Amino acid sequence: MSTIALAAPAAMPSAPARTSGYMVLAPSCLVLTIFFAMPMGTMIGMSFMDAQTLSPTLLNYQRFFSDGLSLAGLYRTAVMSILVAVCVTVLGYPVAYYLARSRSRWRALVFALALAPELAGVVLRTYGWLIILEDRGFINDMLMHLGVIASPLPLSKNLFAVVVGLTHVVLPFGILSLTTSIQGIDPNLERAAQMLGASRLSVIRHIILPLSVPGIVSSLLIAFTMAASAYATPALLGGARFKVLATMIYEQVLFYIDWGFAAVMAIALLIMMLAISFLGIRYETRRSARRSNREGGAS
Amino acid sequence: MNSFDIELVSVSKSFAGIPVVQDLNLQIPRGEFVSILGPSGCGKTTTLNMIAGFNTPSAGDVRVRGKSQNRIPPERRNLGLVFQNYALFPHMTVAENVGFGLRMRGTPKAEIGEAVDAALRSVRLDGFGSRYPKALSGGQQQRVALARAIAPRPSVLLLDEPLSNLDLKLREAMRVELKEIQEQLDMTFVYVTHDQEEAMAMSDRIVVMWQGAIAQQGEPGSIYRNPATRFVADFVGRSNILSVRRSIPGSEYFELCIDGTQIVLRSDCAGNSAVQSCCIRPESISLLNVSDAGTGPQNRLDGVVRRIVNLGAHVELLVEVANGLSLTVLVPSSRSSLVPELASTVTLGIDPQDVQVLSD
Repeated sequence: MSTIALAAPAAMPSAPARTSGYMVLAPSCLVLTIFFAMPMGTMIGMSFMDAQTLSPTLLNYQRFFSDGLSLAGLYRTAVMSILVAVCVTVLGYPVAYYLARSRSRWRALVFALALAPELAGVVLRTYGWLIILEDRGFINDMLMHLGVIASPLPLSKNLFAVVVGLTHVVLPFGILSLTTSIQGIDPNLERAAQMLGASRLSVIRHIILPLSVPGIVSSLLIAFTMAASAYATPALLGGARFKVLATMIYEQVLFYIDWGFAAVMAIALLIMMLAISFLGIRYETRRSARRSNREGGAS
Repeated sequence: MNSFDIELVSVSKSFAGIPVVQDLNLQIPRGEFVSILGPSGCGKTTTLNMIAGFNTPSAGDVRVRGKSQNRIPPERRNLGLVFQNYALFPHMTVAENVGFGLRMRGTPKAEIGEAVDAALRSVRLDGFGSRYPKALSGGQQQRVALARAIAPRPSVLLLDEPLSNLDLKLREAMRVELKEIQEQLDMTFVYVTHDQEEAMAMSDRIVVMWQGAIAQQGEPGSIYRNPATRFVADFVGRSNILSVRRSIPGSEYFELCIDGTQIVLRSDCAGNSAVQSCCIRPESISLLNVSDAGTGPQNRLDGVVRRIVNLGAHVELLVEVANGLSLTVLVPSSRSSLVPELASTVTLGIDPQDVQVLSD
């Protein structure tokens, strides 16, 4: 893929200036058409098709809205993703602030530590959490050994376990987007606020937080979409007891071989993610538009 | 209590072992407009940051109204600071920006409104309160920054090259305005700049800094007329700096033999035989008529015009008075009849009181 992308500019000088812009886009357009647009089209097509007779039908959609299980799955997915998005952003923010502002020599180390989990791979990290959270896992073992509890706490195979696992997986991405956003804030604004009598806390509340809203929004969006589309972590930490759309789609395809219904669930997941992203982006554009208007609101 | 708003007592600062400010002693009286003037890297911004509280001195003491500030964070020093890049809060309106300091002090809303209006009036921006900084020009933004800094009535206002991002015309207008605002408020201003004209135009006193120490301080006029060192003479205003080979203290005049030439200049300055250089301002050199027979004690030098640069109000001549020695002479354009031709021979007159000996 990269070789194709690199080859195109080399041919540019001979091409007329007007078309050269489109020529550069050609390789990626080709790749996207084959590997993205076509499967999407196929999937949408399948969602309107009866699995047995291959005739057009709306039954798959009807079933999604009426069987109760699917909508519950969608709801669980949304709740889980929102929780992950909030956890990632709240936990990531202090780290991002440190990374954006610190000039200490430990900064590089913290940066490496913050991103290191990405190197371990999702499955490996999820198994790690399983070892810690299981009924016979590290935490329960220790608490029972100490006599704090008599029977294991329900730490795995539920929403809690999945949110913990996914927060860990997604956190580095949240930290990265927050760091970039905070780095873009002029440090002099903080000093100006300080000179005007603002304490450290007031500076964060009145200056840094409001100005890093774009980073907060993008961290929430990234975390939400990554959590909603994650499969391995919910599958391992949620198990059969906590099912989200991603694991339900997998079930439909592999166990029930109902591609049509799986396609409907996939489309539902996609629409939810698109809707959330749309809302987030619209919120951000409106906010920044308000600020560049000549006249402000309340003074 | 004493009458100094700010005192620096033997203040030193080094970063990673490299000294930036060394044993600095400075006293700034209440109500004065003091400029700290120096080239970049001379330690002036570090000094300002130590007064503001963003840098802690490695040694010595910073006092505000007699009280040591070494352990007091910037937000509790009650000083104002105007930044070079304005540093206005982009997510707040002009009124919110200006009112921020009072809000942080817990002032009641009604009072904040009044103070904001007063501050905006004093920088002639009344009616701009509901705008956002983005919608203002550079000059207007700088005024908002000034209003924001003075609204909480700080004991001292620190200004860190606040005009250097503005264009020349605006900068010149703002100089006058800043001085007026300072006098109106009767507030101590500490103004850091590398622009000597700016410092000259506004200050009651100028502190010239070089290599982390004070090179000279005094009224703008006295610094210009009597620069103490070669660095000050060179940095403040334009000057002809000449190396002195030998100096002879005389009964009436101090005689300086200029290095590499046969020229002997007379100076009114008190000096000793250790003097190594002297300075003559270009505008203090006059062009004499050949017929004008010298009567007084004026130094007279003959030379050839090598270059003419028209500066608008003045014409700058480069006159070679001896092998390897040229003097820059400034002639007002209004007396255009006096401006000689290129390569013509002229006679220069230098009053002994304009020959300033330098200490290094």
